Amino acid sequence: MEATQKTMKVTVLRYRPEQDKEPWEQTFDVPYHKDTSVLEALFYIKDNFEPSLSFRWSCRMAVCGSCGMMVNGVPHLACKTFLRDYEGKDMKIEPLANFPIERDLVVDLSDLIEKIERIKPYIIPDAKNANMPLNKNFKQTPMQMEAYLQFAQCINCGCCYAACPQYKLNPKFIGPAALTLLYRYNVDNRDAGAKLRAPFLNSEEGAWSCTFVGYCSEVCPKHVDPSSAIQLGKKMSATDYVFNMIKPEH
Amino acid sequence: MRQFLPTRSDEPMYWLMFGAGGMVASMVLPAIMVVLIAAGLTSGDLQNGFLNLGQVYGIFSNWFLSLCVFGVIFLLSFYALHRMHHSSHDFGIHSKLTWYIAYGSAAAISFISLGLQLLMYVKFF
Repeated sequence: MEATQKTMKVTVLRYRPEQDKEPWEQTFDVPYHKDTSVLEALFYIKDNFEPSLSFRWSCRMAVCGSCGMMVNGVPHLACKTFLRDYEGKDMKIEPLANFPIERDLVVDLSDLIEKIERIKPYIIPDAKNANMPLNKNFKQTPMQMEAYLQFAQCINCGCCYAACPQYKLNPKFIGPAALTLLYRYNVDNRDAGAKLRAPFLNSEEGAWSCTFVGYCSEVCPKHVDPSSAIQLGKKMSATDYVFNMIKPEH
Repeated sequence: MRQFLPTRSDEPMYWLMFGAGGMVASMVLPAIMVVLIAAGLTSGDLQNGFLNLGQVYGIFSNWFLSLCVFGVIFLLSFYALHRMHHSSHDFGIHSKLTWYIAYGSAAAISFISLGLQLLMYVKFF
């Protein structure tokens, strides 16, 4: 078995702020099997060559959203990407694009977190339901659940922001994941917070910065389809615009 | 605590016209072409693939057909130039100038079309 084991040239972008002026590349020969993930390749490098290599990870099964990184220039979850799919090629692992690098493969995601917080990603009940007793259930039909379920699968990994050319051009853009969550809560029938979220959706930095490139949906490891959520959000915002023309609210 | 809220974008207006133009381009225009080509093939109404002057007058002396032609031209020009305005942003041109060029040209095309149709309607040509 050992004799037939394949190896791959894996290049990792390194950056140690206390000693490096700018990021640089380091290449390793990593042995792999058909079930070796990129995350395991990074473990191998850390255990055998470079103990100082830094990268985020936690669940190892595409649930936590910690290990988003660029593999050959495409945003991927390291735990859900396998070396076997790159057979015959070299591999280049870089930190997520469009975010500042903190150290090696670790990026500063505070802009993403701030934007997700800004759009109020939680159920805001109306006055009638706010004091609903805890032992009472809120009824939801399968159809009402279907309206938002797909968009609720987001794990905040940041792959869509690394893919988005509009976020790259204008970092003020609220971006795919946050706008998807905005839509997800707006269409939830338990929620009554659409009015509070509307200013963010209706603004230039909201849905209207998106030009429907669709790369976010292509790279999303959870098949959330953010570009679809943003186009549906545009429909919501355009309806609001027309109603506001007829009967201005303020 | 007073929270800073962003201002409303005017983009929905352009986007709705863009959407309407997209529908015209993908559904109405092919239907018009099928009807025209079918008419030309079956009755020999088309001369060398074109309508003759009498037929053109026939269309523009009817105010409803005239309005339809204007609607198609107006929406298609906004549709195409809106897309080009946003594509120029993707190509790294972020000047407000593309806004004026795109929507200005779309408005100019629409006005020229409207003007020509009015002249046609009053039999100026």
